[in-house]
Amino acid sequence: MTHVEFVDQTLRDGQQSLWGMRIRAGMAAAVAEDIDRTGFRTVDVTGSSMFECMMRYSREDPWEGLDLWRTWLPNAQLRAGSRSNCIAKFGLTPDSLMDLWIRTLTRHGIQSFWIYDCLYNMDQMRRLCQTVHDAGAEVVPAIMFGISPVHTDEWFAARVREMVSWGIVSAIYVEDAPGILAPERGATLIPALVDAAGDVPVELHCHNTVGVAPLNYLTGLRSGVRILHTASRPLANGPSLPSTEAMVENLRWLGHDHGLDTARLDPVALHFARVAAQEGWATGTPNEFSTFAYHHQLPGGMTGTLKAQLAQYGMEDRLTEVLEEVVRVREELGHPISATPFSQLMGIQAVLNIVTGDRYSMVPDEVIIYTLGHLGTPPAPIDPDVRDRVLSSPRAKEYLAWEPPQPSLKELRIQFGDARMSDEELLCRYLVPREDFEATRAAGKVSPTYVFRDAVASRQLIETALTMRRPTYVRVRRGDLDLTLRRSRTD
Amino acid sequence: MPVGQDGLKRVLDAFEQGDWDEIHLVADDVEVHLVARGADSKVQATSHVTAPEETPARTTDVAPSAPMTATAEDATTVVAPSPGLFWRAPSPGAPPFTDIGGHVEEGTALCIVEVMKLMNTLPAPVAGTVVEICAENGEQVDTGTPLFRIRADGS
Repeated sequence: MTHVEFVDQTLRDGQQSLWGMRIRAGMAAAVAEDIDRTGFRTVDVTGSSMFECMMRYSREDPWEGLDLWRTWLPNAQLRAGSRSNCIAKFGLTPDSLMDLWIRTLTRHGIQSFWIYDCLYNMDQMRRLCQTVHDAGAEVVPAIMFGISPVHTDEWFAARVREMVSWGIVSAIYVEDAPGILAPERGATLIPALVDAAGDVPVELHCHNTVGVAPLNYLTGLRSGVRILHTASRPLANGPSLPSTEAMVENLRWLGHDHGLDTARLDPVALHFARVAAQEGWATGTPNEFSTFAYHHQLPGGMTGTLKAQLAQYGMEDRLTEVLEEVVRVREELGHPISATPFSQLMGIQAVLNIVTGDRYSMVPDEVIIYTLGHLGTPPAPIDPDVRDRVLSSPRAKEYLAWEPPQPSLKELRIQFGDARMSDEELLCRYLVPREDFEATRAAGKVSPTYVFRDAVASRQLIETALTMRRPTYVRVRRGDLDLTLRRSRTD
Repeated sequence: MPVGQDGLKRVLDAFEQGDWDEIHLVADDVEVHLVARGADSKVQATSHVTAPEETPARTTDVAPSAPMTATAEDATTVVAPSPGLFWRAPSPGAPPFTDIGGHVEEGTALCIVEVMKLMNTLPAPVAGTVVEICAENGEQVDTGTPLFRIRADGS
């Protein structure tokens, strides 16, 4: 019998994968105590993209939201994630701000960090992991999985050994963001990583995009993995992770135990299903198996984003063509691992190649910066013709002599207009455009509650009543709503 | 008695199809009261309706113009090559790439069109003076939306 621990991803990757990070702080209020007391090893709660979305879309101060969650989850070990070299969008962030980001999150109660870098800039990863360690938090560097001729089991295992050699690592986080770790590959990869990690535990974080993640979790358990990432059922499956509910049940049948108070799972699931219904957001359902997913390797959330983007061009019907283009773009760009930022870089470049009809005629700055090697060394050489095309634009010529700037915090504060601004404000201003920062500030305090209005249901009821021919008197009451209609006889 | 949304809909349908004069239903947290034509003597001449607000988000439709054509005033119009967000500065807090009256060379960066968080820098198609900035910073633009008008040197 094995004792298995869980990292809860309901509030972070679950809602990132299924709700596009539109969660608002108050949405967790009613069930925070249940999450806190379920007995998870760690509860993942945030990252810089979530900060960005909270300001851009929800107009909520993300620091205030994090403070609320910290208060509502007093017992759980809370985790945040960060790329090794960037917090804002897909370029590069100065080291001074990377460090400030870690330290400020720690000050707001984050006790654990997963640190990732899809190009495996090991020096950068180590630097930031040291910052995390010095700030007193748990260091969990990540192995991001992808399929390419470069990324063999031994290649990944060597990275694990290097991470462990830093001597400050509490666990190794293994993520399959696109959900394309085939069970037969998992059967060789996972034992290799567990072996390389030695005494350091391995966490498995497999997206269930094509329905095989639970099989890889079972392989993990047979290979010595003791930590699994899951989410509450409405925020699990599809592009998200396996559900806690299903994995707990699987453990029972396999004769393993866990420390979770399972009576607390249902209230959380019911609550978030209700939030999803009220907001019109998706809940996760297991997907059918797709061979194509192994070729384009895009995370499920990204596929949805590309579909939405194509709709803007009126080209919804060309998603398959774009995904096929992603296969070509990945090969041409030297097989970067398909998670942030490269899933976006490859996905958008593929969209631009298709909608312009002239491949690489429109190239985002981030692709230029990547091609010039500023984000790290591509796993395999970039196709020479594509390289020439990308670097032929006037913008690329400007970037040739560019060195990533390393301003001090003082210089950054002055750049953003106030030498005395707080760490929290500086980070927010760096993450979003001024308009979004100011609109968030103007929106005032974060609502610490979430109210179910059953508004959608009431509206449908009223719409039906309004289209009826026979009544001359209609009254609908529901909660706060009280609607009375009368009309004269018209016949 | 729990009836659910579908149940309520069926009750309303049944009322509409049948010859009932009045129905008053309280179920779950909903109360519905309907009185048919002719059945209620208290009918008033006017009705007052307050439906819940559900204003659709404003959409901006901008007719695409031909890319980079010379206009009557002999200025070159730079249009958005893709839907996205229009940004006048390279990053938050930084000064704008250029302003009205500013002189640009061919290939000088004019602005960014952000496509799904990726930054596409637009180069000036000609050397000249910026005479008009046609979109607001941060505005959602569409393919063909005019962004800048540049009067070419010597024109």
